[in-house]
Amino acid sequence: MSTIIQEAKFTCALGAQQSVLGIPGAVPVIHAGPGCSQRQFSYLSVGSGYQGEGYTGGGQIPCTNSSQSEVVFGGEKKLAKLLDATYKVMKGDLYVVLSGCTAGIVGDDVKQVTYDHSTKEHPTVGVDTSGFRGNNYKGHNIVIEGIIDQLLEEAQPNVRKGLVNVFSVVPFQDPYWRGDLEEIKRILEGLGLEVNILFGYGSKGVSEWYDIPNAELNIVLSPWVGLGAAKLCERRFGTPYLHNPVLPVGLKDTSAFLRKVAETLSLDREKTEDFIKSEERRYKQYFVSMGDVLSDYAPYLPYDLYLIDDSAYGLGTARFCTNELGMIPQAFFDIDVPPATAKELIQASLEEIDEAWKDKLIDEPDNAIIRKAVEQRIAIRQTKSLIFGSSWDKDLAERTDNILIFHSAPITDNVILNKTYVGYNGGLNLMQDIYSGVFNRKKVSNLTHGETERERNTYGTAKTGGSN
Amino acid sequence: MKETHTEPLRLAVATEDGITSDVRFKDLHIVNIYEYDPEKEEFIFTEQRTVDNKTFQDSDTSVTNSSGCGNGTGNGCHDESYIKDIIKVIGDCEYLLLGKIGPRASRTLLREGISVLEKGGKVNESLLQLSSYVTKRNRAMTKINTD
Repeated sequence: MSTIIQEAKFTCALGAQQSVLGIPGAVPVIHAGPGCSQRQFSYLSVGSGYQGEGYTGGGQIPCTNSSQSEVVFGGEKKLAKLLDATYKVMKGDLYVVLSGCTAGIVGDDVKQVTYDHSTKEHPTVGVDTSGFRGNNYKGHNIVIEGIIDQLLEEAQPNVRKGLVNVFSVVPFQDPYWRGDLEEIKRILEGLGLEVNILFGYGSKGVSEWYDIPNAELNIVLSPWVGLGAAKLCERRFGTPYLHNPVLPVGLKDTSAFLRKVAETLSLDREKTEDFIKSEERRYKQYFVSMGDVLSDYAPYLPYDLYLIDDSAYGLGTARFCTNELGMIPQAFFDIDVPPATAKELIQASLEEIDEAWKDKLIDEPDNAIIRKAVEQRIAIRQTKSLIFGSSWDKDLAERTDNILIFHSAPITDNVILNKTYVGYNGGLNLMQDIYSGVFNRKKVSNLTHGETERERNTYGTAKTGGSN
Repeated sequence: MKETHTEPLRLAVATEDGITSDVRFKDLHIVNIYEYDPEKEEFIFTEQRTVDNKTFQDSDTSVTNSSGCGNGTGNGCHDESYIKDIIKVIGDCEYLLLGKIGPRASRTLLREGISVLEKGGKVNESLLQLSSYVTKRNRAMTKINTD
């Protein structure tokens, strides 16, 4: 049964237009009503750290602007006309038609229309991303599987040793996707691998998608997003896949992930360990330099951990904060509405970190409900807390005087460019931001760790060196 | 929806010959009115109406005017008095079927509760598709209201 969601943390399946924009040289073509595409852009680009239009994004996206006529008579002819016009004015290496609710309801066969139009010069694929099919995580899956299915219909694998494809974060929905993918690519290249990262500035664009069948291994870094694509590649091209449900964040998990990849591909052990050792050495130097701040400001550091995240980011961050920073798990609100099969995996992955995570996973996409739950919990615990959330949670953090890390969409308080919270560098960035939060908060409360109201009145905020 | 227990769903078809609907909005003169029969699940022709479109400022006669159909400004047909005249004639209809119309005129009509169906070609074929749509829509509405 459908319900109304307040303060949504995602958009509908049509939001996958942004995934298409994440592929250099790809052009999304929208077969939907007026306004649908614009709203996706507003939420997933502007509302995800002001990421801009990019090539053929935002107001440039071609759209059929389906109206009542298309509802009654079907919109396939209009789509065909739009495609012809698009080829004339928009240069692209791949055109991806995404249909919205109108087309989905009336039953327009976008796949057939694109099949009729697709040529070597203008390769075109069509996918049904009607909003009622699910959120944009689902839409992202539909798009990547659609591209593999249609673009690579006749492809034959010619396996190249050391080549891997990576299916991981959802572009734009993960506000840090550009930096995250660059970091994932960097660490995998550190093992001597050739990486088809598929999205972002580190990708060679559509040519990488043509290269997918030639990979020795597909790597899935998410509990469920991208898993279908890896399975499709296995069926179609015989490519094995490594499913790592947790995004590696920080030293321990990143090193473990790299060792797992190296073992799966039987890479040179010495070379692998050399790379890991050099990365860990650098990481530890940074970590040690933070020792003073950790000891000097220990009473003001956050301990309770609240995650309002999607399953991939949330699991990785939960592991990092629990295993490397020693935080106390309070709740993980999983917002991406994973399929039932993935829920068990997420639960198991969470409990594997620490038994303190047992019964702390809450599947909840409504951020208003989440905020209320977190606030109630904080009021009971009266312990300094760290909240991983979005701009929806700014008031919550200010009211409860706790640290908020802008970690998931929507983020309208920061401009995000090249930043990552994944891998070795992501771990360092997280520590930097978490502990900067001690000084950047509106004020530092003294009501922590059992201090009384009398003590607070006695010391004021002077203990922190002043509020800012 | 304009259809009520006493008011049938009406469709206005812009046509010159009664067979096709290849009429542009600015040339709209004759409209055939059809009513949807829920028993038969089809549209039945009821009457022919005429639009007095003499007030329309044609692009040929309004060169100095910055608006108007086909004058290259992209503003489309938005001679308000012309649109009002049309609304007077088809204001009781839920749909207007015609060959071509600009976005602004289309939106103005929609504000008056008239959905524009932009489709030329044979009227009979369009009527079949529209009656199929209306029948399904009515069934869905009945289901929603009874659930």
